[in-house]
Amino acid sequence: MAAGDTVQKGQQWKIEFASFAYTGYLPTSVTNKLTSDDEVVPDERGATISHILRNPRREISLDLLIKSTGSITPPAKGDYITITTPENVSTKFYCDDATVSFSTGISRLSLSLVREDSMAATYDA
Amino acid sequence: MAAGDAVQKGQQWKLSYGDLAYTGYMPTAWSIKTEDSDDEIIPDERGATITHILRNPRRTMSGDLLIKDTGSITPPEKGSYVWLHGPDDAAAKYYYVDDSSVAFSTGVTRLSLSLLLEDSQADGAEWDSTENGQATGQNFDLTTPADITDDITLNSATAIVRVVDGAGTVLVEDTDYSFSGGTFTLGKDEWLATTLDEAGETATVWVHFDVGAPISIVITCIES
Repeated sequence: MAAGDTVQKGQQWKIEFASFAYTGYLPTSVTNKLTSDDEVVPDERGATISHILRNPRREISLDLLIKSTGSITPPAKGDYITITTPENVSTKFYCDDATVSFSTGISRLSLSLVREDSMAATYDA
Repeated sequence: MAAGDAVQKGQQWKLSYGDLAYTGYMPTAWSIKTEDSDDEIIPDERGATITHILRNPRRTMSGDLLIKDTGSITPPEKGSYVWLHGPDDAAAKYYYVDDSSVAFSTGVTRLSLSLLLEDSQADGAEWDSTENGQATGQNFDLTTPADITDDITLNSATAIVRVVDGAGTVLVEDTDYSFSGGTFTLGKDEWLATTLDEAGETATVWVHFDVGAPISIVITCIES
């Protein structure tokens, strides 16, 4: 067992941030979502008879500590951000929201990223 | 290591508030968005996004500050401007006050600010020589009254649209003030004479432009 390794005894679990990486920053929270807009169609008694799913996309929300090699200037809305996803794929996302928070302690970057299936070619161009 | 320094052992981090500075106040929490925009999303006929249209890029900042004894318990008015150095700004600049409040308790009095700087409103004009964003050191001498002049450099702005004093009075062009050849002049016989009539008084004039934030000049009344 190397220094810093995490060891599990008994039932094994998925832990930590898997393969997530964003240079200059350390994650404290990563939320990964595959989602879409969902129009629910009910019957005459209100029971669901259809889900109409539109605009499939991946949304990732991140809370990060800023290393000394990172930047205290948050990305602009609309910027493309490249991260390594927890699934270990280097991927470009559209920055939907970015805020840097300051305190007496470590500065923090919060990011909301989105990658619509329909925009993948645009983001990767 | 100087007294008060923070020392990091191991992995190094960005700490504290960067270069944030607002005279008279100490931050307890601060956040910034470098470039927020209004985002109009255009879907195709099946609802999938095909375009993001980004408009009105702007920088926003907000936070909470403890008020030092040199600060003011009167919050800045919505729509006014504060001179402040953001955490990652190269230099201090005027920010538009979108919201502000002062909270009182048995402890330290606190100022909360929400500030805004639209790209379309930045750096319209500036005084040729400034201190904290204002043209200062201008005295109106009751013994030998004279016009007050200072030079303005127009950047993206092309014209002065309004000049207002600290009481909200709109000054009259070519009567109370004039602007020609880059020189801004407050005439000694009109607004100056009626506003400053006692040594020790000060008055502030805000100069508004067609583009960018306004700039201000502070005049001190003296009697030599």
